[in-house]
Amino acid sequence: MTYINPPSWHSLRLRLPLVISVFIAAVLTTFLLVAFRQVESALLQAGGARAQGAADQLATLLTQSTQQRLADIERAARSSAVLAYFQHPSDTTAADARQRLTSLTTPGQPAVELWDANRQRVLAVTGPPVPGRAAPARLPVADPPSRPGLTAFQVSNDVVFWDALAEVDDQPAAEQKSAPSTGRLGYVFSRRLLSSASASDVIGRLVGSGAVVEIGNQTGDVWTDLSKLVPAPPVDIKRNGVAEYRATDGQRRLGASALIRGTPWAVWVEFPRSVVVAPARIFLTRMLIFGLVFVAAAAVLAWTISARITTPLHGLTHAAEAIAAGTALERVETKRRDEIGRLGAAFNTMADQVHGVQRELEERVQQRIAELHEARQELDGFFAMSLDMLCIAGTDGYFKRLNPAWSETLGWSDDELRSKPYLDFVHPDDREATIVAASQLADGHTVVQFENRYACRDGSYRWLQWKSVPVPDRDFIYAAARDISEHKASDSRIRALNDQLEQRVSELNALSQELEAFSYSVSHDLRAPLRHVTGFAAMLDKSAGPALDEQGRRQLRTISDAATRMGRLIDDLLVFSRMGRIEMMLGRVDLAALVEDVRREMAAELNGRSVSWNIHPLPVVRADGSTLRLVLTNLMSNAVKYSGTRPTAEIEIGCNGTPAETVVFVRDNGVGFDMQYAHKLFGVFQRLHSTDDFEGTGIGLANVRRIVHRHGGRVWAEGAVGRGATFFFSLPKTGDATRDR
Amino acid sequence: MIAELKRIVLAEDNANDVELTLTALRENHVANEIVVVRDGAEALDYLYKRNGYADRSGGNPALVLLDLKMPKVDGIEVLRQVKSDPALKQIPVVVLTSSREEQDLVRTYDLGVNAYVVKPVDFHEFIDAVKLLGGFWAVVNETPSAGPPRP
Repeated sequence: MTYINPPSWHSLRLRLPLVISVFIAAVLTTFLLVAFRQVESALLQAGGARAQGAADQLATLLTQSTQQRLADIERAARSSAVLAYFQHPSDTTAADARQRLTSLTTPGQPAVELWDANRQRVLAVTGPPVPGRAAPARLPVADPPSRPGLTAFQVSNDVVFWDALAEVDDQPAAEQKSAPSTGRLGYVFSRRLLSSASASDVIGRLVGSGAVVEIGNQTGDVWTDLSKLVPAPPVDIKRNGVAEYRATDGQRRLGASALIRGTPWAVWVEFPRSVVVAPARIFLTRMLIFGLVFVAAAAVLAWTISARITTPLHGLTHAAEAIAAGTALERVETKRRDEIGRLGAAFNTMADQVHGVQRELEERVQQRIAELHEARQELDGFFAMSLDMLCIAGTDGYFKRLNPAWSETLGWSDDELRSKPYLDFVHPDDREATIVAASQLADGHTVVQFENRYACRDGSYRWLQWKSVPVPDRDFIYAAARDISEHKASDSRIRALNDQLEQRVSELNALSQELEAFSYSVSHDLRAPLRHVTGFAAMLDKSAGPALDEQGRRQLRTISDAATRMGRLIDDLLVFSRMGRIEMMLGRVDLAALVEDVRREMAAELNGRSVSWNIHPLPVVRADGSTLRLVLTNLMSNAVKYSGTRPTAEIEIGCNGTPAETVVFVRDNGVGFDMQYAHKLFGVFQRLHSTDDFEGTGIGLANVRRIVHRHGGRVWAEGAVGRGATFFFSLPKTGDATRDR
Repeated sequence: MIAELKRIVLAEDNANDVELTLTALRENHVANEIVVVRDGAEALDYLYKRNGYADRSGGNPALVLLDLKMPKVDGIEVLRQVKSDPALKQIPVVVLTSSREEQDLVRTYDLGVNAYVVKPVDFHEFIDAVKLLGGFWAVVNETPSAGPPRP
């Protein structure tokens, strides 16, 4: 693994060694500064001590030398030669005095003089000349010493000098201390120049190179470094001690002063501070180099340690970032056994889990995307293939998306439809209502059953019925339109048909009423003449019967019979008519009981005929009892009637149920019928046999059919000539019937 | 003959039916005087003694034989008026008609008819029917005018 990312300021890898280095550097710097200060301070102290020592030594030296000088002069002043000169001035005494004084002279120094009591020079002895050098000029005594002793340094023509004066008394030297002076004879005066190159060399060697030695008055008025005049050091020189000052050239100087006893003088020894502290600087420099090396080493070490710690962390970070970015499965080295190694191992475990979860998530996302894609394709498919016109319209009044049904219905291309506001396609008469509907949609209401006309490309208009739903927060509406032009057209046709139908119904009602009136008048008016025919025929028979012959009476009887039969036909027809209008009272009817009832009633009319009844179990049905009785009576009496030619009539009654209906059949072994006329069986006044063969009006089966139809059932028959007939009728099984059971 | 035999009113517009009915009554030896009225209006005139019958003698008839289909005022209306008039409602009214219509039956019984006879086409059956009627309503039945009715 390589980590090519440039270390940023936030990287631990850089910051850790940096912090450590800075810390070490700071500590070192502090330590160095403190050490430097300590060393410097120690050096300064030592320098000070050294200067003080030198100053003290010099002071002592000077004290000794000046005291010696003063003592020499005083001894000379008390010498007998000098005394003799003053007491008896003569050439001899002068020569003796001059001789005596010569011992006081020093080459290169001014003369030693003898002054009288009035302080007038009377004698001067000059020291031997220094070869190659002129004798020093005599300096004027500007301020002659007022009393014996040493004077302060004085300056004249840049030459520093000091004077010493000793009194010459008339007392012998032995008596000097015991008796006070009785008279002053004169003075011994000595002036010495201080400046001397050799002196400064000597002192320089004494004190050490680099040192500056200065001597001056304690008052600070005259100071010299033994070669030239210098200003007094700007320190307190009236006492012994070390002091430091900043010179005019900016350099700091360290020095010490010492008072020269017995004189008003002081000595000052100083070193440039830089010289004193030079070792400290050298120490500092060395220590700095060492420190820098140390810091550098520490930095390298810290970098190494940091790298050792942060590299795996960096690896972890990198791997974690990679995982976070989802680029690849990153693992880290886990060879180490320390915390970082454990962290790496834990990270790897986590990475595996993360990767596993990620893979699972990705799979699920992929699956979901595939599902969505599929759903989208399905939707698109439905959208495209829908017969209804589906669209997405914006609230800006334009279509956004349309399915192909639009182009198919209206003839416009998809682009044409989307290029103009949809209102432009709406029939001018429908625009106002369309705007109202659009505003309802804009208010978030769903619009259904809205109808308007849209222009086709050929200039015609199609009626569209809309269902539109607003999409909240998206400025869209979803709308489905259906071309209802055909409906509209058929609607008007249906309305016309309905009108016709209603007219027909009212006509039918009128007809029905007429029929009612007709049957009413039939029952009254058609029967009356028949009654009259039979009545008057009967009266004729009674009054003229005996007079008529057999043929006349038979004809009269025929008239009566025909009228009677006519009456029966009319009665049957009225019953049939009533069957169509009578109200059905549906209820539970026990078919078995009903069949048994009818059979018992018919027994009386059998006239001794042999009938074999085979009646199967029959269910309870839901029907109108009285009319169902008529059905069974008709079918059963027909069975008996048409099997009259058989020695024994065999009549079977049974039931075949289906889940939807109950089918009842009545079978006989009678004359049967030709199936090709089966359709005529149930017609009014339709008969397949002559009245001579089997009496009847031909209305019975018509009634059966009418009643069964009114129950919602069917009737049919099967049979063959001479082989019996089976009549079926069905009754629907309604939920009510089931429940009644 | 008992002089106090009350009359029977026959309301019938058809002359043939009148003759047949009268014959049938005669055949059955009904002795009561038969008053024939030819429509409903005339029947009501007779019963209320007004117009042509204002000064007729006798009280309420013993029986009214009423045809339903008649000109002017039909049998149903006559029946309704008779049965809603306290003075007349005691008179037995027998509807004698060709109709076998259910609606007629229901209406007449609702109005309080005393009997409803369908005239059979066969004359002999008719005579039998009239015989029963005449015997029961004209002879046997007592009306409240002669005292409390006996069951």
